[in-house]
Amino acid sequence: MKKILLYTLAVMTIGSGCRKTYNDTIQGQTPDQRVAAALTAYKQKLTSAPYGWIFLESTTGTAYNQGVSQTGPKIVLAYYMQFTDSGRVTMLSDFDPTMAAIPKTSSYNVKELTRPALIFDTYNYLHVPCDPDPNVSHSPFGFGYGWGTDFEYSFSDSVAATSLGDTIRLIGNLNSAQGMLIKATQQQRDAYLNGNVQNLMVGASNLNNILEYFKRLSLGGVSYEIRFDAVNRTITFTWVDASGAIKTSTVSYYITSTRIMFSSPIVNGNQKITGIDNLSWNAGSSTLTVTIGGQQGTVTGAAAPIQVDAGAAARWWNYGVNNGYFWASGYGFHVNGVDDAYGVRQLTDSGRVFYYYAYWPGYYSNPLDRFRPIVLGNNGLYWNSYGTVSNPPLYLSDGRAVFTKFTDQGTVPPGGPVAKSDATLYNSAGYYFIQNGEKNYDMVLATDARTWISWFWPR
Amino acid sequence: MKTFIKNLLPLIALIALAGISSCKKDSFTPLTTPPVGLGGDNGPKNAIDQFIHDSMTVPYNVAVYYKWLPGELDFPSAITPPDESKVIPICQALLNVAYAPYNQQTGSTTFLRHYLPKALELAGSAEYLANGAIFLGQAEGGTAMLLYTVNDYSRLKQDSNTFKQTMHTMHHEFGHILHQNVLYPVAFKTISTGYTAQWYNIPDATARQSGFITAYAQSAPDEDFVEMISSMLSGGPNGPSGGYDEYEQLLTQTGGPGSTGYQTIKAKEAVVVDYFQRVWNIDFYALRAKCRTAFVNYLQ
Repeated sequence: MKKILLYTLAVMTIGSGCRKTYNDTIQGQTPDQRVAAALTAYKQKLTSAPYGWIFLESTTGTAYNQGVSQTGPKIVLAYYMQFTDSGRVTMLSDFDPTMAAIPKTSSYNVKELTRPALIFDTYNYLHVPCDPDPNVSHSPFGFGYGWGTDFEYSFSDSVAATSLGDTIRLIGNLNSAQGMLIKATQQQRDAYLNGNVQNLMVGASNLNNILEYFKRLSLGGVSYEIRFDAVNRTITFTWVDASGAIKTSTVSYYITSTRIMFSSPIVNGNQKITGIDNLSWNAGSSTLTVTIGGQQGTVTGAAAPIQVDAGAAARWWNYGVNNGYFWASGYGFHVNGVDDAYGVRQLTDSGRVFYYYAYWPGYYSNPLDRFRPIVLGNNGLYWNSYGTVSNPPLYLSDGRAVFTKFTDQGTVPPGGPVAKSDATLYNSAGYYFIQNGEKNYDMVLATDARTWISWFWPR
Repeated sequence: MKTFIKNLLPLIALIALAGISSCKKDSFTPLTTPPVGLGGDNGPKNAIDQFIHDSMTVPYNVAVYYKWLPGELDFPSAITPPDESKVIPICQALLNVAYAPYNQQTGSTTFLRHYLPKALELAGSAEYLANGAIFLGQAEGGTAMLLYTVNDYSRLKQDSNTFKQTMHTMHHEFGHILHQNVLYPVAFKTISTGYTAQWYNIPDATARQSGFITAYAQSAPDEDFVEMISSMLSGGPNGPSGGYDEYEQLLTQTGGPGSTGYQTIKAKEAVVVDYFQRVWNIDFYALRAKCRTAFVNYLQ
């Protein structure tokens, strides 16, 4: 037995060691030839879609630069792309209305990196959210960071290029954004080129024509409160479910040629909302009609929230007291569709300029609160030289909070932005509080919900 | 054991024979075609590629890379590639405002053809560093030059500060290339003390009072040397109000003639002028006059 093994070993050693075969080829193709063939196949896949592709990009909420990461909002972006044999790509984007309407052409390449890669190698709309200059990308991730999007992708389906179907998955090489190329239909292509994305954006912006803070969607007998956040690209639905409990769901949205799509559906019992289309504004009744899943809905203004968050005002006030700092607003009051209706941003105080409007709960230990602007001088932040002291808010049983003035401080110029802001704050109708984030509250005047101020925690 | 060998011998002989025959070397066949995939990107050429070939590669032996090459710029940084529409304009600006004065001064394109780094790489955005500073350009050991913020390029008078920044970067990086070829006199490094890695915390005006033409010059002697070159070669007289500052105007921030800052910068200027004359046989002041004229004439 031992001998047989030995013979076998000897034969194998000599036989295999000396056999001269070209086993670095498969079916006569060297690795380089196979790589080149695969890259050609990927490229053909991209250029063979007769009506182009819809490209969806979802970020992870993390952006990288120089190996350092920052976190921020997760977003989903939608593009329409057409690839040509000559290495050109033409695209539209839902990042802003201009990019939705005017196609831009640049170059692309399919290359061999650690995985086969699709690289958008000169600047196009896709690069705008990637731009590290916040003046270009408007990214909230900070100086040196985009939105965590990518322009250099690896093909991430583990199948041969020739076996790819009508959906191609990609993953970004820097920020790991998830990309998905979906073959477009002729109808989708036409809708894109007809500027439908821009139409949908304009349609959605009609929501701003509704002057009330609360926007009420009625759909099939159910009422939802909806709120678009165009900066973070989210939409929030609030409703009362069958058991009477208040439900809130916030999802990212993106805009394709036919619909404003949600990254995940809003589910209320057997009603499932995946997106909105056909937004049209009716100036006569100040309503927005929409279509959701083939069903028509109407959005109107409402003077009160669908369900008052009764504890919100106290949470807001106590947070300030417990953390010994102030709530800040960069714009002051929004009134009847006008941001900063009282012009607080133009306020100057002995050469110092407006920085925040502040409400400091428990500024005095009695406790009394301070409602006063903060101004920026050469060496830092200062209190404006005049303002008011407020009593702590009274919490009414229906959830409203009412502010009353304790005293003026300094001389408040009559008719100026501070006097107007004071008069609004101490309106006896009181305010609804809406918590929009861990440290974000909106305070809406209860008279008609057309006046509000947004507070954030500046620390 | 003996039997074992006896039995084995024919087998070994057979195997040896087989081995010899199968190990015979095939006759050498030289490659007639290059290996697949070598030779870089071979995509279709467009008008930009043609312009680069005709205006940069043929006369100056410079390759211009404007398309994103993974890993070519500092990895992993958030940098974007340039917009194609900016590529030809920025090349033309370099040719007219940065290269032409050197050609006029040296009498031909030979000098630049020899010393210009063979690769010019363009990026659309800047490179943002963790300390809050940004890279506008880099020179890599005399072989490659990187120009960032190409997407901000403009030759309009109202944007003359941006335009000056572009030229400043160009002259700065070419200055590096020159001293990477032949180093400036070592004595230059001892004119100033106070070089610091925290230069970005110092305003330019303060740096000038301490004898550095810009805050960045205060980062290291190499940077000091090339910031002197680029500050003198970029800009021009009679800029629009609020526009570019030229060298003389920068000097007014030193505290004026007689101040330590002024005298230090003037001492550095003398080294630069001497270096250009002795090492490169270039009259620096004549070159500077040509650069200033070209700069002012190019703005629209």
